[in-house]
Amino acid sequence: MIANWVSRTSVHLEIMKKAFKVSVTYKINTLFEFLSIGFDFFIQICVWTALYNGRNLVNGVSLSDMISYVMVSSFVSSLSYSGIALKIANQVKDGTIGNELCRPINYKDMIMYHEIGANLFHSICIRLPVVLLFGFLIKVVIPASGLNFLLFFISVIFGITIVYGLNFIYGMLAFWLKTSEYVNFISRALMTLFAGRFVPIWFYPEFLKKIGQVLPFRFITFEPMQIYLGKVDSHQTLVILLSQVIWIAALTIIQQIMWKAVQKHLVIQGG
Amino acid sequence: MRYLSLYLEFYKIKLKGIVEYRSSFFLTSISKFVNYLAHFITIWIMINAFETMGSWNAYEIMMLFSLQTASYAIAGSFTYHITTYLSNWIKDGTFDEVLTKPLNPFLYLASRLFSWGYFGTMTIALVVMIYCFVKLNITLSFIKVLFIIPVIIGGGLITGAMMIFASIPAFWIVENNFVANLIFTVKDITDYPITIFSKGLQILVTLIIPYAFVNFFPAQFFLDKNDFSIFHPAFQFLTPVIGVIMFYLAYKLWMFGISHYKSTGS
Repeated sequence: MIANWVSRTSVHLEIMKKAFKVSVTYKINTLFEFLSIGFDFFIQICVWTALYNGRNLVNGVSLSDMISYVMVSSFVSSLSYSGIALKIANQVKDGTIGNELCRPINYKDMIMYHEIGANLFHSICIRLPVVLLFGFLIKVVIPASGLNFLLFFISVIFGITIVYGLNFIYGMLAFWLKTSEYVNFISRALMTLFAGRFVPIWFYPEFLKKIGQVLPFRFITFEPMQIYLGKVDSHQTLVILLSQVIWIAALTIIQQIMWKAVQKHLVIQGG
Repeated sequence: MRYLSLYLEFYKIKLKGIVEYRSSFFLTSISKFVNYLAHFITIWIMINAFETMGSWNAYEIMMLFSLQTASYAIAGSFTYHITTYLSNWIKDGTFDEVLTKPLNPFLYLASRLFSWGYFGTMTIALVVMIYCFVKLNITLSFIKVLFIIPVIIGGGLITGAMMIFASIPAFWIVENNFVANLIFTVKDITDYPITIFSKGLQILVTLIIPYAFVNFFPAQFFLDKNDFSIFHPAFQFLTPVIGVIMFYLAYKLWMFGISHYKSTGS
């Protein structure tokens, strides 16, 4: 049992390492990525400064909170980015999923760890240095406390688990819908509106806040960021972490049910 | 332009493709429509929570974004795939095949890689534009209505020119993603009124990478605004001219790039 787990984990690490190495090879790309990210942060800082227009607090949030939010949440987003829904859906559409499922390794693990490896490269080697540089220059970005940082770290990992849960479900829908165009339509639009990545949910009007309450998207970046910035007390933090666990469980169950149904009547389209 | 009918044939074939795969076309269009709608709503949420940004309110800023989106839809249909495919086609040798055709390679690619997929993008841009005019209580004079078309086409030419510029490094160093990403990041400045940024950035997006002519300057004509910072108010009428000039320059440089192109041999 334990030996089995160790050998599986070492395979996962190997996949992550390969993806990481592939990313390292494109050196000029890396340099320009630094520039793009720095430039993007600069634009965001100008935008929020113009919006605050000298005010100290808007909806209980200060400008320096907001700037920290922009930078740290961009780091969390690059860590939790996932394009595997489209990848799975396309493989279902063109039939190559048949070959993938024949490999002696869990298909879902393989594509997930491959993507996490690439994400680790982009977020830790490229985005994090820019965040730290800006943080150092304008004295923001510091977490509310050591404990907050630890709990933030845990809730980010939960958030990433939710992202993959959602993506597997979106991807598997292709077995029934026989196309992949719907993926961007449901995943991107819902994330834009309800994850609070571009505009934090603090600034949302009540009715949109209420809809967001019952959806899992705010647990990916927004709620971890609230913990990071110390915007929630210990009780609320517990509620956030617990809600994340419940969402992970719910998404896993849905996945299992879908996966069983797929195995019963899998139709490989040509290929 | 000798083979005009031949180029038109490409667009017809693509159109027939849509009729053949109707559900795929509609899903793509709806997908783009909904994604941009979500983006417009978040802009509205953001500005609305703070009331204004500089001297611009939420609907005026949505108007900026809708002009940008409409121009992007036009540019994207013709040139987006040139930017994204060129590097791969050079890598795998497909581009060599393009050069063996007795046609102008640029016009050939702009026809062959043309996409009707931006239909949803254009629709949402126009819907939001009309919605903003209504919300802002602006009565459109005949001249304003007439001027919208050359502004969107001019904006399309500027945006398209930038996409073409972004593809050119591929002729020398094969890879071009990074230049494309940087140019697209600069474009983000014009999501907002450029006067909230420093003078240096205002000059960058007006005189060097002239995205401000896509939306910021012409929008002021439609919205009766006067927020020109260090620039001349006449800039609000220049979009079509700048569009033609930029696109011509981009085309010339692209053709120059081809003359320096060496096959990767694959």
